[in-house]
Amino acid sequence: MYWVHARRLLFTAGLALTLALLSQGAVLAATETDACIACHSDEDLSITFDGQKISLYVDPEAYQSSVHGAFPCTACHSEIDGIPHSNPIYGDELSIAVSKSCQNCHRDISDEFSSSIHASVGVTCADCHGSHSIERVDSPTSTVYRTNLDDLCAKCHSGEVIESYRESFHGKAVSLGSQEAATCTTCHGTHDIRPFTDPESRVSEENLPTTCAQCHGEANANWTKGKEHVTRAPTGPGAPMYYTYKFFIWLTLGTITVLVVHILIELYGALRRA
Amino acid sequence: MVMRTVEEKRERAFERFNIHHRIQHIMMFTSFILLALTGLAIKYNESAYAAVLTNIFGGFDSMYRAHLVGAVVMLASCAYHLLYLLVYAVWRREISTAVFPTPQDVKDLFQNLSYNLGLTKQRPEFDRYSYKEKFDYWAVFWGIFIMGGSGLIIWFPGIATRYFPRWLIDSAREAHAEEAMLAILAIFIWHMYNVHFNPRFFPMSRVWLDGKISEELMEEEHPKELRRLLRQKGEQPDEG
Ligand code: HEC
Ligand code: HEC
Ligand code: HEC
Ligand code: HEC
Ligand code: HEC
Ligand code: HEC
Ligand code: HEC
Repeated sequence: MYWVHARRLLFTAGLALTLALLSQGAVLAATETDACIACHSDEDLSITFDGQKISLYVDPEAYQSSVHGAFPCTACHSEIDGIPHSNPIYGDELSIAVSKSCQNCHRDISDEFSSSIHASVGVTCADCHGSHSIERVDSPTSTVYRTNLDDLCAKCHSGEVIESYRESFHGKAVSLGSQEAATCTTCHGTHDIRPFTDPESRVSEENLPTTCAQCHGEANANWTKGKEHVTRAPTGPGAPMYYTYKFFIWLTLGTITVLVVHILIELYGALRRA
Repeated sequence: MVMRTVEEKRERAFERFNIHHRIQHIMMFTSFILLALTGLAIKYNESAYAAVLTNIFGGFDSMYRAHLVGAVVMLASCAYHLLYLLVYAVWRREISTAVFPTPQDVKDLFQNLSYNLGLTKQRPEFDRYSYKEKFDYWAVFWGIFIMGGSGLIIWFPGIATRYFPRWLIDSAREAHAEEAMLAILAIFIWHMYNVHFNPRFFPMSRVWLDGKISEELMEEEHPKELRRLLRQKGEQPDEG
């Protein structure tokens, strides 16, 4: 009895202490953030770097409601060493510095990302996720939510890749909110995207059948006999689609013209007899 | 010989479509409307219409399910029809050839056009099926073949890739999307004109519902069949 009571007492004391320390931390974070916000909530705060005007404004509300809102600014901005900042950095240097700090907390993803094509061409976490208003990825307004992905990837990828996806059944279904159809990342992966010529890519000739089979049941070799990102064109891989399309367009135009002419003749006859 | 009056002819009905025909037609047009409504939303996914319709269905995935249900009903109506033809043939020990195209249809076509253009006073006399009705029937056959075939391929791309290369599946989708437009336009322009906007029975002929057609209408639309039916009943048809 006594022991149980003592343990409960101990437990309660420990809990209280932890909570006190935690809230102390939160207060510190909050005061630190407030200190930074004091200057950076000024919408006109900006500098010119490399001939370009860069806004240094941070929307406090968006920041606080973001997934990182409880963290101090310096959780990501380890380059900030005091006020005023003694050695401000911008451009690529800033991107790289900040992306490094994502690693501190998102270790696994950063490791995975380091082997991707995007890491090797200098795409950063912030290019896809943004910076001060990062939301949970399953929030429909997140930059990486399934229905927003084609727009996100279209910031850097263009032409047939995007067009063909938007024309495809997958793309149309996803644009109308389908939770089942494939997005860019269900085929390519997210943080481990590789060129399709790399055998390790999910869409390489070797892996494509299994990628499609995730949802389509069968990993047949025929999945690779044709291209994914292709739009109708008279030559090249788009040709079968092009000629099928043309055939049916002309069939439709021809048939409907004949039917309409027939209707008009009958209406003319009815009018004449009336 | 006593001619029956117009009133008498209006009263007297002949069965044009039996219960099987009517059920098949009802299955066909309800599924057609469902398929067209949902299919257009997929084809024109950027339109406001698509957004509204997906909302009504409570999301894309359930709207797409509805499209598949429509597809199953339509294919079932087709299967029903073929089975009906088979049973009919075995039962009656004959194949009904009334809907097969004949040289007479070509003559009827030209005569109908000449008649309406005022080149002849003689209206063509149709048998059980006019050339227009035969065209409708075979157009549906073609439509079901293309839409059903391509639809099944894109519904089951996993199975389709057992036999076909990927590009054929993508082409099947092109065919599905464009043949659909042909079917929708043909139904809305041609079929609507023929069976709804025809002044003789505007706003619509009831034959799809009760299967009945009056002797008066028979005389105008299917005089040859009428004469044959009357002779079978031992009556003397009015000539001309
Ligand atoms: C989750 C990490 C993260 C946190 C926390 C964070 N930032 Fe940032 N910050 C970034 C990223 C990412 C960039 C953009 C780097 C780049 O340009 O690629 C950035 C850029 C900036 C810039 C440079 C201007 C710009 O927008 O490019 C300022 C100023 C800034 N942050 C202020 C703050 C302040 C003030 C806070 C705290 C209220 C804060 N940041 C908290 C990630 C963060
Ligand atoms: C007294 C106002 C003031 C306060 C407080 C302030 N900043 Fe700044 N900050 C600036 C100014 C001015 C610049 C532009 C400096 C320059 O380019 O010379 C700047 C630039 C920055 C940059 C971009 C340059 C770089 O090196 O990354 C970041 C990020 C940043 N501040 C973050 C913070 C953080 C985090 C805090 C809170 C710890 C903070 N600031 C507090 C005024 C302030
Ligand atoms: C090419 C764009 C892109 C880049 C670059 C990128 N991400 Fe992501 N990230 C995504 C997408 C898309 C998702 C959503 C995945 C999902 O919905 O399952 C995601 C999800 C996440 C998630 C939450 C889901 C999970 O898997 O735990 C975290 C955390 C994350 N990313 C962190 C990072 C970090 C850290 C970096 C930089 C090292 C980074 N991302 C770079 C596109 C990107
Ligand atoms: C101080 C540690 C820390 C740093 C630095 C940090 N994050 Fe996070 N991040 C978190 C935590 C903790 C969560 C989970 C928040 C939650 O679950 O509410 C999170 C959540 C996320 C999510 C949403 C994950 C989900 O499951 O929806 C993304 C995306 C993300 N972070 C990206 C980044 C990026 C990009 C950076 C660098 C610019 C970064 N984070 C830097 C700790 C950090
Ligand atoms: C159904 C699976 C699938 C989807 C969805 C998909 N891709 Fe692809 N992607 C592939 C395949 C397979 C390849 C290999 C080349 C090909 O077949 O076109 C590829 C190739 C690529 C390439 C390289 C193309 C080249 O010719 O260099 C890029 C870039 C790309 N995809 C980006 C995207 C983007 C962005 C999206 C979303 C808008 C997307 N993909 C959606 C399967 C897919
Ligand atoms: C900030 C710009 C940027 C964003 C955003 C971006 N990419 Fe990329 N991506 C690149 C660059 C640069 C390359 C390398 C050059 C190339 O092949 O186009 C690349 C390469 C690729 C490749 C390999 C192409 C190949 O040759 O096979 C794929 C696949 C790809 N990206 C998919 C995506 C997807 C999916 C998204 C969205 C989730 C995305 N990218 C978002 C810039 C970006
Ligand atoms: C995330 C799941 C998912 C993945 C992965 C996926 N698909 Fe699909 N795909 C769907 C869904 C859902 C449909 C809608 C039809 C259905 O329910 O089968 C569909 C339909 C299709 C169709 C028929 C519609 C059309 O476009 O004509 C084709 C073809 C297709 N997918 C090809 C592919 C290929 C090729 C791959 C691999 C590169 C792939 N899919 C990967 C979910 C997926």
